[in-house]
Amino acid sequence: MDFAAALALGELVYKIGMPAYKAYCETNKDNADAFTKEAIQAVIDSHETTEETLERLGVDSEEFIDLDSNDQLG
Amino acid sequence: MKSKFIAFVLIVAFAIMAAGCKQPHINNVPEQNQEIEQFIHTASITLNALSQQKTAILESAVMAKINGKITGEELSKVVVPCIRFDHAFSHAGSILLDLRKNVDSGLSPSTASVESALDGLKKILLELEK
Repeated sequence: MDFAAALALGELVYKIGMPAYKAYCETNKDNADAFTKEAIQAVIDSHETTEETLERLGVDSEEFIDLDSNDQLG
Repeated sequence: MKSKFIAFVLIVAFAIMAAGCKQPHINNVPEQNQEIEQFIHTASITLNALSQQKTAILESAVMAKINGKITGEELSKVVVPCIRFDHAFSHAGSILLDLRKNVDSGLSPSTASVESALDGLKKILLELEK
């Protein structure tokens, strides 16, 4: 296949493909509610910190927090 | 071989395009605010998913330590990045909340909002690089 033929084929695929792509997007578009201030706050509040997870699992978090601060100093 | 390669490229291109148009349409939001609302929506969902994944990874590592499969030193290699993730999460959460408040207060999704988000992302990246 020479260059001109490849270009023509590409153009044809684009001309047929783009409307099909747009139609595909339109039919598959999901609807969602906006994330409100409260919903974002809920995401923030539901985050379990590493310290909390360690405590929940009965692991002493102090040594790891020291490790992190030492690492940051280095 | 060549046709398999072309088929592979086409499949990848289609997958990328299909993923690209998966941005949801946000209900009851004017068209000019769709983009910023989609950003807030995607960022919130991603942040929540990352937080849950971090907790799951940490839980697995602690269980492995309890069962004697890994040492305390190996556990610390998981814990330290998790603590850094907490810092990054905290930054990202407050930036997202500020952005939400700005949009709610009637400010247009201006360059300033986008710049503040980008500044925040830079801070997060710096935090992760420490």
